[in-house]
Amino acid sequence: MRRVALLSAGFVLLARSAAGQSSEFGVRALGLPSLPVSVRSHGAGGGFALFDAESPVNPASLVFVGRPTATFTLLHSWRTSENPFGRATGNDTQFPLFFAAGLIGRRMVGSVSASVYTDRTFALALEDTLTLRGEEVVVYDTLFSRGGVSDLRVAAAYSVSSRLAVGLGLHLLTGSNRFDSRRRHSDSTYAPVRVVNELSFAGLGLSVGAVLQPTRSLQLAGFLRLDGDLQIEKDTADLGELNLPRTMGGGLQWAPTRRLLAAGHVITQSWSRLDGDLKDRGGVGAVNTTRLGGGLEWLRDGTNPARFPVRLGVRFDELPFPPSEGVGAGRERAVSLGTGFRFAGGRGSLDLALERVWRDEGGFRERALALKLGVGVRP
Amino acid sequence: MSRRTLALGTALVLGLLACQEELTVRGSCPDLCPGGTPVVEDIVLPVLPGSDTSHVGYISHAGIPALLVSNGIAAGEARAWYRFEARPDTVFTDEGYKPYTIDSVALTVPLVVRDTLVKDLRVYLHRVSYGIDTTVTFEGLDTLLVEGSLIDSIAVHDTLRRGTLRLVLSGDALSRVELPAEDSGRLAVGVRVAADQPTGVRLGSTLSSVGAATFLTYIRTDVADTSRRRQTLTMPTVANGYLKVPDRVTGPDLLYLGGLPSARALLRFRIPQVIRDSAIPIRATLELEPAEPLRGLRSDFTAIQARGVGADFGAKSSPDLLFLQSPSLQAEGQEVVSIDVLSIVESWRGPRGRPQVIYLSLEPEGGSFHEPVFHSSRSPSGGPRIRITYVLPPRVERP
Repeated sequence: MRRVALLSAGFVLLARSAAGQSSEFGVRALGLPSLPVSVRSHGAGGGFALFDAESPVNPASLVFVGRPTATFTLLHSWRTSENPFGRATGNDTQFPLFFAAGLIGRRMVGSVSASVYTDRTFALALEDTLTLRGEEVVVYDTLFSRGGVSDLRVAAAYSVSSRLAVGLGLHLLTGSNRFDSRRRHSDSTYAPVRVVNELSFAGLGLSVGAVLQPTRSLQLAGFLRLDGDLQIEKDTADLGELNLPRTMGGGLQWAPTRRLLAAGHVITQSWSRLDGDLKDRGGVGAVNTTRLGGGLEWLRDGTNPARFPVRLGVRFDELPFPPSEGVGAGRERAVSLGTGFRFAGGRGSLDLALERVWRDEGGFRERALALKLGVGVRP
Repeated sequence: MSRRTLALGTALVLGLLACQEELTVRGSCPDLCPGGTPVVEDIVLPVLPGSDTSHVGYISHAGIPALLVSNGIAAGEARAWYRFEARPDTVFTDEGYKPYTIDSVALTVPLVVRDTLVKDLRVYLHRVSYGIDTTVTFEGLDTLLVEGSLIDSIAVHDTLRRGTLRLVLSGDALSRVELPAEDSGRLAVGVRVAADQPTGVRLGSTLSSVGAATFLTYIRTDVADTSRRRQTLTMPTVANGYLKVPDRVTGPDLLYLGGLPSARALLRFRIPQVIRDSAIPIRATLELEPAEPLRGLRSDFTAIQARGVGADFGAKSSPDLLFLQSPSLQAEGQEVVSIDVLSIVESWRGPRGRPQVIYLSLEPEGGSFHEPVFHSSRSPSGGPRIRITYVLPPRVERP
């Protein structure tokens, strides 16, 4: 019991630091949504997300956990952002996913995970000329934002039969968004300004899923996630609530040969539920999104499938929050590849994924190269 | 897994963690500005009506930092005096007290400030009655500074900005500083100046950093030790003062600073709630409108100091040690005097804000030709005011 309490406390702390990646498309509303997928799945365009036990998307997929497992994911991205106001290059390091799972009896698996729900990490540099006391003064603003909404999930999967598994996940949405606004003036008689605020979030969600294996080579999966209202506080002031989207998805996984595995999924999220609330608060609104991802995994060594398999994938995402008034919400396209290996008799694993991402909408364009590294322990 | 692979993986992880983040993207408000455009506002806050007052009596004759002497300037006529310690009629030697013979005497006067644009400046030293003290009037002193009382004058070189002026008397001239027995060896001198045009000077006082005038007597004594035969008797200033006419302009509808005894002023304001609790002041300027041209001495640094107070006890309020200072007041200027008082206004903010009071004084206090007079809230127009420029904090909750 004590171990469970310590583990839970640790995951709450990890949830506060979980983050996705910085982007100019993550400036508005809740930021850039993130699908919590393992590095293995990431290398295949997220295609395995609904079947992969270490991707906390479909709770039923936990049924594929064969032994106690803990994984830690590191993401580093290099990006070039362009918008009507300029061009900038940057990079950032994030820790998007922590996952632990273990067997609870013969047919049941339980897990806890901390992942990114949305990430609003960015820094904006703004320059303007104001007329102060009859004189023109150039002002230089910098707005830093770090953090976002984190998703702490407790889930379990149950193997109903050899062909069907179901799962249930409870989600605690938490985290904070720390803002640091700074201004300095070209005329030093005006004092610099610094304001620090924090938005903190709290909400609950529920997810259910199933995995069905109609034939030996084919698996089907589906899940539904219902998130409640997200309560928002600015420092200590209550800012009310935001409706969160309903998420549902379906996918299939096909193994045409013993050494080739292909998978894909469609996931939709009803972000437009936030549209009215966001506009009422002075924001630019939100739109529904669809995500398509697919990829394959080729096992180079049939006798040791975990030894440097080759993973390839493509992904297409719609983004929910327009970066600016009068601009669409944006799209994200990505191609990825990955590999991995196990060591210490299968007790340790290291997976790598490299993803090239393009995001664009209107005059906003972004290219990113993301390197994802996953370390797993299976005692 | 080979050690090589493990080392490679470890190096990769450490390498990524060691990367320095760079997040910045260029943006523009309101297009790409989630908190909205920061709003800058400007407000002019007049002093609370009837709450601005001047109080007199802070620096008296005993505490003056310099002596003023002038001749014909608009800031007024000023004369000064020094009174020296009594000179003994014997000196103590190895052979006991011995009488002495005077070779020469010298009077040194520290010059603190002069107008460097004025040529042919001369400082005149007159012998005056040793009974002179702070009860003397300007007329009483001025009538003593006549040809018959003149000891001598010191020509001040045109290039000298500050330093010690020295007058040496010997031979027959010693009779001008002879100290009769009835005066008990005591000397007092009055000081006036003249130049090719109206001007003034500031001279050192007993409280100034350069010290006051000194009366030196070079003597000879008849003792066996030849190295002790020549000595110098140094008589420092024991009292000094100056008198200036006309007296400053006063009136219930005006605010005045400086003078002797010196005046200070208290101004009370009430900042709006938005500045008190959320807006961020980026500049706050106190503006004072002179009621008459600022009369002073060219090249003489004089400024107004503004301070906050811990508690408002009126004239007995205890001002902060830290002060904010105006630029040097310009003689004959009638421009609005501006003082940046941002740090004082910032101290008024918050639930435990300090009293919204600005405490004004003149620097150097009690030793400046400037005696500025400003309009008050009781004047028909031009009362003190603070111009505050502030920023409303960004609304980061705006998505």
